[in-house]
Amino acid sequence: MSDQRTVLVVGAGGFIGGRIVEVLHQLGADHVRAGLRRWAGGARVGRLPVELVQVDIRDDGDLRRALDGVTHVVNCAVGDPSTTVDGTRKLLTAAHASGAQRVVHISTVDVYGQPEGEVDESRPLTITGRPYGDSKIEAERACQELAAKGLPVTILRPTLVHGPFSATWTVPYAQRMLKRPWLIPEAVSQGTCNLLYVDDLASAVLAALSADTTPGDAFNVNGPERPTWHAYFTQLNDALGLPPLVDATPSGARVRSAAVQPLRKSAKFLINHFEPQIMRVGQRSLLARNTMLRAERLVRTTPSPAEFALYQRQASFSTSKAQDILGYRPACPMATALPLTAAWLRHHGYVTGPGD
Amino acid sequence: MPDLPIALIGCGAIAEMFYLPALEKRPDLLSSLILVDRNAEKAEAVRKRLGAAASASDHREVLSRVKGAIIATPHHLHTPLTLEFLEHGVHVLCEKPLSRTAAEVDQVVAAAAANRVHVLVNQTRRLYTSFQEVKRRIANGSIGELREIDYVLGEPFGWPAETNTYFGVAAGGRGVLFDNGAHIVDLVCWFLGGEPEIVSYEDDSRGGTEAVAEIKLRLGDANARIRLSWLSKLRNTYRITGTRGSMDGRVYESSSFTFRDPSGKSRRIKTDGAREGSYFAGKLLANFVGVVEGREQPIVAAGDVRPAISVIDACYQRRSTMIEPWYDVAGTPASV
Repeated sequence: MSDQRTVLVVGAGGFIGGRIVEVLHQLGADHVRAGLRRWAGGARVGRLPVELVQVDIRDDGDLRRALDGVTHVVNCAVGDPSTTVDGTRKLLTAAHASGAQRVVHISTVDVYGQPEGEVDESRPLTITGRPYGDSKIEAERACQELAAKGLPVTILRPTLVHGPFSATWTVPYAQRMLKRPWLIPEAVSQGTCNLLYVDDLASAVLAALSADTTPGDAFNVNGPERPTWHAYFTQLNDALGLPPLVDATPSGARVRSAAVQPLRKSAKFLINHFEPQIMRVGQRSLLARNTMLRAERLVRTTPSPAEFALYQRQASFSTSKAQDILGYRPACPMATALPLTAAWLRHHGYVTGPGD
Repeated sequence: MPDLPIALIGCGAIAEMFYLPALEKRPDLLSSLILVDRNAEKAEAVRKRLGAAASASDHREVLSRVKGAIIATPHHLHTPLTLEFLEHGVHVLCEKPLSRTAAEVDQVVAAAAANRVHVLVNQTRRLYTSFQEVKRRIANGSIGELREIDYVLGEPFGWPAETNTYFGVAAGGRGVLFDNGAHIVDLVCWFLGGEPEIVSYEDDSRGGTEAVAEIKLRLGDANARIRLSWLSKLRNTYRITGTRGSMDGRVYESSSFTFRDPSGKSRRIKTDGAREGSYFAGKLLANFVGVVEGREQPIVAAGDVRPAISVIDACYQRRSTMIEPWYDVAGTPASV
């Protein structure tokens, strides 16, 4: 009987799941099964000769098929609560029933709410009313329920995961840097930026897949340094080879942020309630499509008031536990990571370059 | 009013997005239309929705019952199904890409001739009046001698594929070049006026289907570069440069482009035509009906796409891997 593991990565169409599939494939030791919610999400991982399966983790039949023969599971799936919470519970239940040897569940440090200071795993999980963090808390509870039944599940709580394909912490900032004026002044970006390069998270996942840890144990996963947000912005800007960032005044930046806020709220409301109708209008009219794209760009490139609070928060997430128990060793400071990210941004046309 | 027995083979995403909306506007065709899909329930549901004549789960059931077949299946079935229908004396409207190799195209052309039927290929870009005008201006020397074509097309893959036939091993290792390239390489070959030689080709496949591809081509004194991506939105523009001027535009703009004359003065050229996909499907369908009735020739026949199919196949034979420093630094992930 072969000792080779079969690892199912759920959410393989996403930023983190896609990278974990790539890394597992490159290392070559495991049989890798990439779980895609929709086939349309397979463009990135389809570049590799890995097994692709369609799996909606809310669907029992999909789960049975996807878990057939699987020894290890990495859960990167995220979505609305029916996916993040109910889907995770169904996935873990099915993994337990099929005899999975280890499940690694990707959570987030958002489960701590908005803490200050040094934050380790002893901090209580805090409901904030924000859907993402709150649903991740519920998903962790599902992990604990299944751990109590004997499923070896490890919870990882990554910080701000950046790098190639990051649509949250990489692409929008690069786009803002290209579109001046720069609206995040140095004076209001002195908070701690808990940056975690995606390859460091991948190495934590690999460690967690192999470590014989207590079922339900949770670990913060952070990068090797604690820069300020301003340091991140300036170093990403430098890596992209752009002219130095010239600060707007703090008051000017806030005025602009406040001015765009009504548009942001209206757009959110319309998308939440009338997305199909909006898409249809966009398909029919070039003028409407261009107007929507311009509005989207304006919203995306203008910091929201909530962002200013984030850029000033002093909180540092400790990885001592992950280092001690999992042997996690983050190896990608900004000096290593950002040139790679910049190369990716150029290659994919986010920044004009030879491959635009 | 035609009473033409036509079958739509495949009721998946391309049928839903392109052919069915056009067929719905043709009640004269619906009365004898047969919907075919391996999923019998889906075929019947579509039949009911459209009020079409019949449904079936196997194309062999309709081979001798129809005069025309629209092939809207996954790519790898295009050639074999086309050949099967041609051999039964049925005209075919086939989705792109018609084939994987030039030899397969030759087979299709020969089968059509032997059975005295025609093949129409859906090369939608050739129906854009903007591109038709660009082609006309290249041919009449409006920009002097053609020197360079640059065409960039990239969007995150969003096609609502219902089967796993686009990616990885299941797609035979042919990705964005085979899919989007079937349109764009064809367009560039059409502009160039023949089959170019391949200067270079690289893509990002690591044993599966490529999601980013770049081709450099040459025909005579004219060079072309095509960049395609399924992973990110690119600038999505084209530029065609000649010795005395240039033309450029947005790749989705089907009825206008910018023309620059030798003095560098530019002006917007507007051409007739709608922008909607259903308009082109309707136009294609009208041509196909004309072909089946013996009144028209195919707008784009099988032989017309041979240069592009040949170039695409040759690219795959000589593919080299794009360097991706973020993916593999000295062959390993950065921190693992």
